[in-house]
Amino acid sequence: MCIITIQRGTRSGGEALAKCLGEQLGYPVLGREVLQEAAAQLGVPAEDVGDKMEERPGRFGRIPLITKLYVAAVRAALVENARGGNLVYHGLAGGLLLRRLPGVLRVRLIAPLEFRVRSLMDSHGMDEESAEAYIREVDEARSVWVRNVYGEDNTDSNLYDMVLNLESFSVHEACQVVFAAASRPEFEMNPERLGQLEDFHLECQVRLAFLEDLGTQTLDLDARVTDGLAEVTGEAPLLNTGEVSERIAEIVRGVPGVKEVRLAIDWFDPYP
Amino acid sequence: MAIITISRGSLSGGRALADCLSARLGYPSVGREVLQEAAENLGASEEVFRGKFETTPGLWGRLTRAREIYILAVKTSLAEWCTRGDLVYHGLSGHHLLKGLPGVLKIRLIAPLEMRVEALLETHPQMTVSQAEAFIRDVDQDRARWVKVMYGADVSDPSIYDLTINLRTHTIESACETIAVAVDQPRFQITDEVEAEIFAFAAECRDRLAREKGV
Repeated sequence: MCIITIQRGTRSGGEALAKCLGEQLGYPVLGREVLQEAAAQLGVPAEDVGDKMEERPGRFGRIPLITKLYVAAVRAALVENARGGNLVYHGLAGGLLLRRLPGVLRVRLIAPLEFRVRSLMDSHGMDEESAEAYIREVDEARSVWVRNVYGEDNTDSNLYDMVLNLESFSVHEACQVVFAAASRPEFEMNPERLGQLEDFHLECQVRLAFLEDLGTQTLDLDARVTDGLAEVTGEAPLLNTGEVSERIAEIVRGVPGVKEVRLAIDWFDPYP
Repeated sequence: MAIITISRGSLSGGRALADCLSARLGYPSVGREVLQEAAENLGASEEVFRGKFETTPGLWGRLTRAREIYILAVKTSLAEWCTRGDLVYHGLSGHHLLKGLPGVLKIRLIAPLEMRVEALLETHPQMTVSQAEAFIRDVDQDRARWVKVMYGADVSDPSIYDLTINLRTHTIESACETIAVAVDQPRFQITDEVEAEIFAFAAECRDRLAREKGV
């Protein structure tokens, strides 16, 4: 059992690699479907979620609430699908969405620009210049998005467990190499990791619930779950603390699977 | 049948990986020996040679003929090793020295700084953590600058390698097994055609070096 995420630039062969791995391992393969599930959960069009997952942030680099909500919903949908411990995900920001989870095999696929341009020209009948401009623009937008949302450089190899160059491997060959890595004990979803995955699933549900609730979405809250015990941290203004605490605890208790709630919130004076 | 080059920062487990691959695949493993042979070939001491090969040239250093001859000597020595068949090379700049040669699997090994600091402290217990960190950063910077000046490349750019493996999660044994699968792919096999190219490459390096030495 193993969870594999494939990060790649647009038109870098990620989907083909994911399908090959899915067939070899007998695991489900997901990409854009996760985004669609998240959108359905929120009751918004999938295009809106897709746009927020890729568009450049505002002028000052701040992450708008709507982007936070959509990212949390996509992560929650992804983790829901990963709960069984078997998954190949080739959608957006996979490795980063699951970065706190141990045992996930994070693969990055790189391919020469010519290869990617050719693929786009073949599939969309675009001319070379437009195809190249499109790829550069998408790469740049994703890179800025990851930098703003996660504070990371998505081309930094240190974020991944392995980086494969498709200039040197065919998709089939890359599939054999990733399969070999996925078969190693470091990436085995053992019972301990499955337990951590279940806690992480609860964390994602709690965070999403905070962002969906009008009373808590503007507060800077986070949650960590250990063996079903949810600890909520963050900052909130020193106003109606009893009421707000009760609301936070109620939201957390409303997530099926959470056994206990502990609040460790820093209450600050909004009018010092 | 293939040639594997391993590029890595200092204390990133390159030597251990090379030993593992050598045992797993039955390939000879070489690193410093290539530099020693090149030094002997030029009649220089290894220390002087290492200085030329590893330290970053100054502003005009790139243009010095001596440095170019040193690099050519290393290339020639490595090319000779390649003509003998299978090889794991874990010395400096293998992927650049053998650039363009078929049948070569170019690996980049990366490891988190904490892991590398720990490895350094094991062999140098008198060092503090901050000294060890500073040392590793210095060596990394020096090598990155060297590669930039000599080859115009960014040493951390994954597109100059075939496969990058992160030791944050992979054990040496796992990295070794994964690379064994990668090198087994048809395009890395040394066919008769590839062998002919390797021999031609080695002969060209030898001739160029002889010409340079004779001038």
